[in-house]
Amino acid sequence: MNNLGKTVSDILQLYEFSMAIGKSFDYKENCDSLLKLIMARKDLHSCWIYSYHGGNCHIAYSIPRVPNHFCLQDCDKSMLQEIHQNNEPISLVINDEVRGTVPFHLQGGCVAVFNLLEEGLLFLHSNKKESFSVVELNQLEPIITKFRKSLEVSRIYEKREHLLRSLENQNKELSEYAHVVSHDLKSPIRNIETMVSWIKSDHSGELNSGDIQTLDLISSNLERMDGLIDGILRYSTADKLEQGTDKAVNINHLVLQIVDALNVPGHIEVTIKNSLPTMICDKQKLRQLFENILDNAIKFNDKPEGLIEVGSKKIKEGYQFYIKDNGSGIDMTYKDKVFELFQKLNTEANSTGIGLSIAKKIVSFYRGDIWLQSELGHGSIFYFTIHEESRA
Amino acid sequence: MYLSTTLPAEIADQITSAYPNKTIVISLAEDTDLDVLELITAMNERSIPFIGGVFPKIIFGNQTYESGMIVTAFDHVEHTFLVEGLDTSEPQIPEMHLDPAGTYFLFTFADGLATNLSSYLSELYNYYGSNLSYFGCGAGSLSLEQMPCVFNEKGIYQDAAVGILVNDNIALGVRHGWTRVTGPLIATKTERNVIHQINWQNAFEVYQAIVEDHGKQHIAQDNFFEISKAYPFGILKDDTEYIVRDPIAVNDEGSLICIGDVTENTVLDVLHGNQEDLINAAKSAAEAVIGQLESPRQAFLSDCISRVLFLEENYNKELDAVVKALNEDSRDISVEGALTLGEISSFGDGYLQVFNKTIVIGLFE
Repeated sequence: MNNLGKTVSDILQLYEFSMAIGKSFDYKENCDSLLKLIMARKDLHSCWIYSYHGGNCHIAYSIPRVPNHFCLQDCDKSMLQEIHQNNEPISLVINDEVRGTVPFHLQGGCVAVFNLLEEGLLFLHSNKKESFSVVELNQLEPIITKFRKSLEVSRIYEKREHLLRSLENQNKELSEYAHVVSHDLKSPIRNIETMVSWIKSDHSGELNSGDIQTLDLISSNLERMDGLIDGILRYSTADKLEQGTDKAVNINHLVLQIVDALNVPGHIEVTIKNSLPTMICDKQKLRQLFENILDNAIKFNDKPEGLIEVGSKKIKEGYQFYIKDNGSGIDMTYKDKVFELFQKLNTEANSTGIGLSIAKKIVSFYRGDIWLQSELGHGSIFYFTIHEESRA
Repeated sequence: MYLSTTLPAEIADQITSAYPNKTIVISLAEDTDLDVLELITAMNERSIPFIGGVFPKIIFGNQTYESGMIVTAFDHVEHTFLVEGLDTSEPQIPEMHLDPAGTYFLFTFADGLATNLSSYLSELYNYYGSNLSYFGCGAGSLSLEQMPCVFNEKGIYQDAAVGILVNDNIALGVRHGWTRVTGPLIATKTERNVIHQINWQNAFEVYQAIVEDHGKQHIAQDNFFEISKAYPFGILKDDTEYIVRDPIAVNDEGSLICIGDVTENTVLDVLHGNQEDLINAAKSAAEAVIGQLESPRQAFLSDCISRVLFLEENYNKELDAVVKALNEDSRDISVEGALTLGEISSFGDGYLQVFNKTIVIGLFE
């Protein structure tokens, strides 16, 4: 082969190596893809990566695999650290000193060592060569640099996967916890409620009006507690989606159904400003979202002629909705606080302070935002966005 | 030892008598009128440790046989093994203890048409590295239809490999004799053993243009193998022989189907051979191994069946050359072997790979 032919072959081999990098986010598969190829094409005998993650030095990858009992001696670590300070790739003859850093028994030959920075050191070993030439090292260096970056991506991916698994487990545990707690709390509430009704019926002739008032107060508090527990359950499941629940929902029809079910008082009129869209989403979640905001708008309307208006407009990511009322309004100091769990700005006995937190969670589930504009005494406008075909 | 009898009990008796206390490797020619399961039973009844494989043809001396079997005996066998799941990406390799003071070689017969034969070899090397030498043959039928083709005392298997680990010396010679016609090319789109694109163009169109320009013969789907058997691909490696890949067919989409994997973006040359070069290469492989051992006793050839298809009636000249080279200077080395679907070797002591259209000679003491 003439010089030009050799150069072309070298370039194409480097192309082949380059194309083998980053085929997988998995660390081992990523290493397999490139390092097995380099071993096959360059007829090498072994390779390994020392990694320094977590302050410890260990073999992150090797061909062949490292025996389980292998561990590095202190002196070997210091030698590795010395190599690590050198940024240039180097070729080392296998001698006793180098053997101390090698995870297998090597009879001879040489190693090429590449600095992978945070990812450690890559060793490529040949039994046959006396040394790797400067040209070989220089040819491989940009490939190994690219490989190092792909290893960093693999590490980040592994960390992300670990975090996601951990988060999934925590969410699952929290969800189970909420179910267990609510079930355990509801049972004694129901028992107390039953006993209160027994006292009322068994001792109806003996109870004075004060006693009855006290028992009624107990009942109303029990009812409130029951509502709070239901609210916690709804809140904990607001961002969970069961399989197959997404479908086309005509929001115009949905809002009309909600208004019908809420038994709107005669002095309040609910209007739909424009034809609301049809969206692919979970109908129950959308129902809860609109219901919670409309319920507040009705509940806190102090005007003789209450007006509530629902409308929407198309935005780039999906739709923006608003629910406008002429009720008592909210001090804008509390514009964020109203969406926090158990935060209520009124003394309404039936209010739990959960409804708007659930609304916010549902909106977040659909990658949207929720906010409000309000003026005390004049009313509020709640805005929220729902993204199409995207979910948090 | 070549046996032509097809009576299992007689075969087992002859083995017991000829090779007491040895581990037996049986290379069975595919046209042999023999029930392998009956042979296994007969061998087990006599407690003979063995492994075996079925091949298109077998070699004894300078002759090939379409029926019968070659019985090869080994001392110092420390393990026999079976690996199943060669259709999966990570076949389970058995744990075998190696004495650090020992000199080992591993002899394996593997299903040559298994989809993940290369993963088996890769995992094998991953376990044992260059601590031992590797030698082996791809088993199977000349029809290229996959079938159960490796066996041991428990049965006969498809998508599997059998092997022995021997604490003894081996010398390996690997040659093919094919030379470059053109290249380098890049296999830009591949899927295991199928090349869809070469240099970002339809693989067959590129291959056809090269072959027709060189050979001045028309190549199409219907005469593909007749022509392609003289024009294999060579995968470029530093400092050593090409890894040869054999295109055996072209499909309707113009993709080339090879024996053996071609990974995407592999750099290839198109090769060509003449009969003299191939025969000289086989002789050279024999000459390469002969000086490596003090007292060589037997040689086993893993010789690609497609070399026979290419050399045709002159194939015996290849065997003559090998037998003559091995037995020069009054040496007495028995020559046995199989015509295979893929040859397995570590190129001496390097990374383990499967070859096509190549002769691998294993020389034992």
